Amino acid sequence: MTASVSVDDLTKAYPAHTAVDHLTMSVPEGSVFGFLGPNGAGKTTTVRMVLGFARPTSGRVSVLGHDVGSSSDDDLARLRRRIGFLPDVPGFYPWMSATDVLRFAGSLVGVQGATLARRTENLLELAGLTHVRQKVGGYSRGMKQRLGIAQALVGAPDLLVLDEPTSALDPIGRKDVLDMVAALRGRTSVFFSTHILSDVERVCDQVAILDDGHLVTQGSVDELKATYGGSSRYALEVTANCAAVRTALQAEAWVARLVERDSTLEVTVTDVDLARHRVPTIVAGLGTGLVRFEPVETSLEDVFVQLVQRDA
Amino acid sequence: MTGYKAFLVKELREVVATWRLYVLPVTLLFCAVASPLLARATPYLVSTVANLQITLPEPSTLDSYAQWTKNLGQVALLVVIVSFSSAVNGERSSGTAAMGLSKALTPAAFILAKVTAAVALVVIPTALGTVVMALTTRAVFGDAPPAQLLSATGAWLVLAVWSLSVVILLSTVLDSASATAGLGIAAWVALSALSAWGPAARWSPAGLVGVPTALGAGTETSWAWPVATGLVTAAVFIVGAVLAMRRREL
Repeated sequence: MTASVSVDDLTKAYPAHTAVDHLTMSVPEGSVFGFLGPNGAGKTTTVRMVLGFARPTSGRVSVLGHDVGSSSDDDLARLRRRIGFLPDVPGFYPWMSATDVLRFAGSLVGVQGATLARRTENLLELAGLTHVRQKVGGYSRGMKQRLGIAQALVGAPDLLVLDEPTSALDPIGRKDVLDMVAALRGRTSVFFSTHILSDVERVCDQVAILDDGHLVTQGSVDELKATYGGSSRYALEVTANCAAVRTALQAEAWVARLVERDSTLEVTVTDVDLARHRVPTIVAGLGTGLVRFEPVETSLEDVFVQLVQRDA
Repeated sequence: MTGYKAFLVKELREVVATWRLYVLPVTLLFCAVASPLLARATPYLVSTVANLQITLPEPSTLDSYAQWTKNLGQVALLVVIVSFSSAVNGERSSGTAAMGLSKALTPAAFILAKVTAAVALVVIPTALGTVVMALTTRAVFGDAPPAQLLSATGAWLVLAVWSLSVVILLSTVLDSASATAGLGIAAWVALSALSAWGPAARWSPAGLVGVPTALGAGTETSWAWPVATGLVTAAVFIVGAVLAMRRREL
């Protein structure tokens, strides 16, 4: 499959620290690609290098088939006509209206006349700003974020780069944005940088996890769950004497992790077969009844916490 | 250099939509009206305020022009320097530069559109101010020969463009608007100090400090080299700003 963004052995080092360290990954064409990582992992630095805003210390970035590092200013400008970008904190001229912002953005990417007027109207509706008369300087963070997404789409880009697009939105605004991103699948490649795991799980088909500048893993959401989750996590509920069951399990070598949630024990095991035999025996040995002992479906959050904690 | 036209339109609209529309034009119009009146009143003010029993020569059109160029070289130039001190770093810190440059806007187009709009904002009000100045001078003194007024104002415009290019370069290199304004004023003071040295005043942009007043007063002065070197160094500063903008990471 062709890659919309290809990053090869990319490093960005500052005097005090290395923000991105030998990162290699690719964003498949037409995919919604989740770029995950905790705060300070190097996501925004990577986005800046992808867009040509920051020069890599070493390595190579290719976007839509163009080598970003070796492009002239004019080549880069032509490439950026095909890219929509929403920064984490979008900056707008406070004296402009939403219509002004979209017309200005459209004129910069070469959209003109009736096409620009039609797109402006459609995008204002999409952003829920059609009837807003105030200038952008008076907008809330959520309104600015929605306008930011609209301006990123004004050029009908081949690649949409979103840096934390939902962080300032309320649940309804977040749903609107995620629905919009999901609707772009197959037509536009979306590079979706975020630390909100549920957003990624909901819309992304490919995921890369970055931690401390390193790529921890890359694959589809299902692949990651299968690889890092498997069926090693179980929910255990007993009729009584939960504390004693917990103490007994903690002493077992095949129990990797034990978390108590409400009245349920969440047990991560290293040997599934042994666990299936031993857990009922331990519970029965303590004179307690077994309510349920079943595998827990792995979430992306489980994978993320497991990988990032292990890496740390 | 793509995106120049679209960004220039934005810059010009910004002038109209913000305080920038008023500050420099109002300053220049004030100077245009006040200079002839101040020139006419100077003998009276000197004798009354200082309480001196001296007879000063009758003020003339040339005194009015000298007052105009003096006001341009001090008040208006200070307004130019301060007004444009956040031209580039303000856009960087607010994130608007990144929004524009993430589209088909090159760093060269960004800087040159800024310079074009800034020069327009200086030249057009100065032209209007010069007309008002001529009319006020004619009303106060009965005469306003245009040649000296135009040459003096034209020489000041070169000084203003030179200062503007220094401020745009500083605003591209520095992150702070106040540091840009401070260093812009320091450059102006340094140029004024340098103008006291004969060879610098004759052969370099430092001559631009004294040339407008000399031309306005009708004094013989060598203006060609200061104007030529002023324009060349202004162009060098603008090229420097473009190169600095290309190198800056966002």
